[in-house]
Order: sequence, then structure tokens, then C-alpha cells
Amino acid sequence: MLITALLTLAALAAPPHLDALSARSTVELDRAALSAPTWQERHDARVALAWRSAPDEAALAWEGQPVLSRTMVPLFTSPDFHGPVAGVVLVDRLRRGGVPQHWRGGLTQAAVLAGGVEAEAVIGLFRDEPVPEARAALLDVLGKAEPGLALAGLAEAMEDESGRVRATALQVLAGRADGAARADLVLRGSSDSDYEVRAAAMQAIGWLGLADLWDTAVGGLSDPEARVRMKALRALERLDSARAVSLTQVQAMAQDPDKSVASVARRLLAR
Amino acid sequence: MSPLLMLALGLACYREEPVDSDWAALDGQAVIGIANLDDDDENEVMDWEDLQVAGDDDLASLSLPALLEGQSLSLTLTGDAERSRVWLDDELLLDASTLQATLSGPDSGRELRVEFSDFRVLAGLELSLGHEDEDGPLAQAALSLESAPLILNHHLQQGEYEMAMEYTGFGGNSAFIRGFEDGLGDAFDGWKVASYGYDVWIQDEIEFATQTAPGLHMDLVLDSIRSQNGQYLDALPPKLAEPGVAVIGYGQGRSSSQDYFGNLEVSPPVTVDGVHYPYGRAYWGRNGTLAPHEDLRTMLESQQVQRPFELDVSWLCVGHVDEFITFLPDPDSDKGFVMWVTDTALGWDLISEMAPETELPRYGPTHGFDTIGQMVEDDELLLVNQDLQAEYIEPNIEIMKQELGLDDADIVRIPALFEANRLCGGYSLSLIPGTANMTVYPSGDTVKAFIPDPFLRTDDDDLSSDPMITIIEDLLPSGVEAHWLDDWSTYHAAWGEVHCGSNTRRTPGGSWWEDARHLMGD
Repeated sequence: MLITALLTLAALAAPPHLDALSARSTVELDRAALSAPTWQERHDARVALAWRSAPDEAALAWEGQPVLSRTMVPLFTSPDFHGPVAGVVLVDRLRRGGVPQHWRGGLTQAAVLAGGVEAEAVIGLFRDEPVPEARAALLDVLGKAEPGLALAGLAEAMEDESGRVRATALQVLAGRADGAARADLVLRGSSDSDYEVRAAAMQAIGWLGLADLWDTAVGGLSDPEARVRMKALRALERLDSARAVSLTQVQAMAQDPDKSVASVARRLLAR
Repeated sequence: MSPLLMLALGLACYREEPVDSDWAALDGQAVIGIANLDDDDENEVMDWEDLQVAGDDDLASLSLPALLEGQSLSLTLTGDAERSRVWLDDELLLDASTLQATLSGPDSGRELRVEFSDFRVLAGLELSLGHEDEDGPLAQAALSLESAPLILNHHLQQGEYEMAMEYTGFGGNSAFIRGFEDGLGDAFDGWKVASYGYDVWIQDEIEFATQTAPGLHMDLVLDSIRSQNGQYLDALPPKLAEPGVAVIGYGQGRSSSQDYFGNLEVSPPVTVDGVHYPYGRAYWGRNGTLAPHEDLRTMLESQQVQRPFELDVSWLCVGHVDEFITFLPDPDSDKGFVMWVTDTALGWDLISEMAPETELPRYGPTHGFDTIGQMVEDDELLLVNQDLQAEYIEPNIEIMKQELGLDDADIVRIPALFEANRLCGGYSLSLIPGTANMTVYPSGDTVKAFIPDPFLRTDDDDLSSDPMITIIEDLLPSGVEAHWLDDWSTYHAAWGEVHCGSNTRRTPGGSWWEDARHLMGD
């Protein structure tokens, strides 16, 4: 049985880094997948098991090519990239496969959607990931991860050099039921140099109901970027719409130069 | 005829005896033509640049009365002479370098031909009839020379043929193509995508338009700057660039997604604050500083008959107006059409009412939702959709109401859900295939609507089990026939839908020189 599996593995050109693992029994690999000391070793064992249990699926995920989105972003959305086998193989590909930089965002998203990225692996992958879009895609996993891991990971992401990643961290935080526990990250994001981060911070104030950051949201109403003003306005509406209507800044926004912001302000004031 | 009456006719007469009334009739006439932008002789030079008009059927004609023995006619080109020419038969008579010429009689009447290089050119032709025995003119007449505006098509115009890119083999779009073929038969053309760099986004690359004048008509293909230099669909399928069709482009350089023509649409004819727009109004999306290229916007604004306006697409990943709004003919509505617009609250209601355990085999690989329950339990998804509706879709509806003179009765809200895509900075893409992104094809008395299949069901083949399909079919106006197209892998998963991957040539109608003069503040 093992010989057959190894032959199949070889025939499907499994990546060479699996050679050592291929000699181990399934029982050993199962055990390693659960209890090896590092997430990398646990993941390696899962990859070997994936190739052993479903070599065709694993090969498709290992070798599959992207399709281009309408705006020329490489995407891996075929069913070949879905399911637990594909998930672990895609992560392996990201770790070792010499993936072109411009593929990494799409490949990471596919791995996340396939459920291949364990929460415990996010931080490690995140630290080694060179592409901001890929780092942002990884953060999605933290939206449903256990609180300690997730909140620590999002705090680390808020230190990222990329505004896109910082904004995504706040978006993910805002979608978590326990996100209010890191209101400090929201407050920090509200004065970020990147307007997307400031907008995400305003959104988080509203979504998480951070009443203590009322004044921060009021400050967002005068942001030079329309998206930030919009999110600040909506945050105040979510926190306390009656109080928001009484603000002179909100009343003035009925004439905001941005038509969408002005429209939302008028609708709020008309209530 | 008294001198006063002759003056009233616009003819300045310096002699007591009457002159030929044919000359008098010319005064004040408008010679209306079209821009000679095609390549009738297929020499790969635009006909205006060719400087020869033999056999060219795109010039406006002006018949001159006969000149008698001893008479001469002085002709002067005025106004925009850089973009207009006057030909005598096949000889160039007047242009920017030769503003004046004289013809001598006798002759039996001659034919002038007027050529334009662009849309909405306004020039003039002054005629002065003289006689060798007279010091002053016998008669004078001033004519306007005018070229047609470019007019974009809208969804109420009859379809002539439909087109999409055909991607055969494994992973191709054969189901999508088959849907069009089943609905339209010979009126559908599928072109091999392999010849065009696997570019399936034919809506984004081209926009059809027309220019018409009395007795003249030219189909126009606007070629987007999204791909240039013959790359991808920029190498247009031959049928689109056949003789008699002009392929034109505006702008150069790096494009944004807002330059794609999924982001340029036209409403049906509307009346706004008492002003009728018989050809509808053009609209496009703006994303902050990003909008269609300034050259294109300037050109479209200068046409005047479809006075454009802007929507806010800053919330969308791709950022096209066709992602959330469309128009359908509706014989039962006051205006003859309805506007369909996405409504995420209806979308959420829809999934909330479905059985949570409903498996969604299509959604797993593309969106990470294997069941309806996983969607409904996603709090972030709910919040995202609530915000999109309140912050951007409703304000855009307000703009449409204001700019098109619509009220709530003209608007049909359809269920929709979007998701924030991390590869796109958290901006929105359709989660359920966007049914607003349909292709509308009026054909005779029926209208065929080619709509993205939402696949909000477990069994691909059982359309009757899909609640989204049921709702949409109930909302369709009478006479509209739904054709559900599987656009999932080639289009939806790649951030577009049916409309993005198809295009429609439509039959022009109307006479702008009669019904749209009030829109031209010349």
C-alpha cells in the first residue's frame, strides 16, 4: 500500500521536499499533524498526508495555474483549488513553491477559502509573506479564530508597513464580536497616514459600537477624504443617530462636496 | 417679389428684378453630414485623411442651381474650416487652406459634397451669385454646414446582433455561449477567444454608437484604451471593423478600470424638468480621481444630445456602473421602461429565508461559503452589505432619480449581495452573481434578457429550486423573456458577469436634427 502510494506520489511529481516525509507511515504522519512541536512541522505532515490520500487533487493544487480577473489580477478560483487537500497544498506552495510574486495574493486567498490556513499558521505565514495583498488575505482567517490568537495577530498586522494590510486588520477586527477589546487599535488607526486605514477605523467605531470613541468619529467628519467622512458619519449614526443629527458638523455635511456623503447626511437629517 | 419679402426669406437682393428662386431657397439651409471616419476603400487610412472622395458614400450633398451664361458663384467656407471640406464632384474646392473659390457659368447645376472630420462640427458656406455685367451680387445665401453628434445606444433599441468570446475546451464557457445561441440563433456571434489573448471582456473593450444625418448613417465602434496596440481585444474581430464602420478611440496612456466600457451606459429616453432627451442620457462611474479618460468625457459632453452625468463607483472593486444598475423595456410603465437596481436588504432577506443547510456547491471555491447557513452567520457580510446600500447604492439611486427624472414607480429593486474582497483592498464584488449585470436584447415584440444564473441552490440543473430565479422572473416586465446563463467560472469568478462578457449592436433610430435641436446650445 505504502509502495503504491509512493509510486503514485512520484509519478505525480510531488515536490522534492516531501521525500523525507514520504517514508513515514500514515500513523506517524497523523500523529505529527496533531502534535509536532511547530506549526511548520504539523503542516508538513498534513501536506504529506494530503498527497498520500488524494494525489490527483494535490497535484492539481500544486501545479494549477491562475486565471486573470477582469482587472488582470491572477486568481485561483477553480474548484481544483477547493477542499482540505487543496488547502494544505496551496499553503505548501506558498511556503516553498517558488510562486511568482504577482500570484501570491490570489494563491493566498484560495488557500484561505479552501480552509487550508490554520489560524496557528497565520502569524508565521504573515511574517514571511512579501506581498501586501497576500498578507491582507491571510488576515481573513483571524476573523473567526479564537480570541487570543486573533487579537494578537491583528495587533501585529497593525504594525505592518502596508496601509492596505493595516486597513484589513481593522476591517477584520470590526467584524469580530470581541473586537471592542482592542479599541486601542481602532483609535490608533483613526490617525493613520493612510486614509483607507482611517476609513476602516471609522467603520470599526460604528460596527463595534465604540461609544468612547465618539469624539474620534466626530473628528473623522472633517477628514479630507470623502470615504473617511462617510464612514465617520455612519459610525455616529450607528452609535446614536439622534445625537449625530444635533451636530453642526453633520448638518453641514448635507452640502458635502462628495455627493454620496451629502446624500447620506441629508437622509440622516431627514429622519 | 418685393425686396421686403425677399429679405424676410433671408435673401439679400440688390436688383429690382427677381432672381432665380432656387438660389433664394438655399439661404439659411443646413447641410447636415457625418464625420468621415471610416475606411471605405480599406487602404488602412481613415477616409478623411485620404483626400479623395470618389466612391465615398459618407459625404453630405448640396445641389446648386444652374449658373447661366455670364454668371459666377463665389463660395466662402466659414467657421470650423479645419474640420470641414467642400468638394465639387470629386475635386477639393474648399478647405482650411482654400477658404474661397469661384465657379463660372454656364453649367447645368453642380453637386457640392461636404465632408467632416469630426462630430458636432459647425461651419458655414457663403454663396454669392454675380454677373459679369453687374457690379454687385445678384443674390447671396448663407448655409450652415453641420456634422452629426455621436449617439450611444440604449437598451430600448432593437438588437441587431449579439457577440461574446468563445472559450472552448476544459474550463471554457460553452454553457454561456450555448445560452446566447439558444436565445438568439443566427443573431449571435461567438468569436474564438484564443485569437485575442484569452480576453473575454468584450463589453469593456468596445462601445457601439452611431452617427446619422439625412440619408447618411455610420456605425461607430469606440475602442477603449483598456488594451491598446492590438493587444487582447484591441485587435478587434473583423466583423466589428468592416468597411463602413468607423473604429475610434479617445485618450492614451495608462488606463484605469473606469476607462472600461462596462462603466459607460445610457439611459432610455427621458424627460427631466421638462427637457426631453430622446436618446437618453449617458452616465459613467467615478472613483475619486479616476473616471473615464478626460478626452472621452470631453467628447461625450460636447455631443450635447445625451448630456452625461456621473455615479459614484468608489465602493466597487472593479468599479463599473453596470454592476448594480440596468434598464429594461416595460410596456406597462408610464415611461416605457424600468430601472433595475440592486438592493442588499432584499438579498439578505432572501438568504435568511432559505434553509441554512442548503448546500451551495458553486460558492465554496469562489467565495468560501459551502452553505446558506455560513453566509447568514457571517456578521461581517451583513454589515458590509448594510453599509453599501446606505452609503453608496441609495445615493446613486438619488442621482439617477434626479438626473433622469425618475420616481420610485420607475425603479425595481432586486435582491443582491456583495462581499468585501481582500485582493481588492476590501472593496466590493458581487457575492451572488449580479443579476443587474444582464444583457438586454429587444427583438421584435419581445425582449430577451440574458441574466447571470445565481446558482443559489444545491442542484445546478434544477433552476426551479432557486429562490433568486423565482424572484427575478416575477419582477421581469411583461414581454421580457429570461435566459439564465452560466457565467460562473469564466466571468463571475473573474469579477464580471454576463453583460461584461457580451456586447450588443443595436439599430439606431430617430432624427436628432428634428427631435434633439433643443439640446444643442449652438
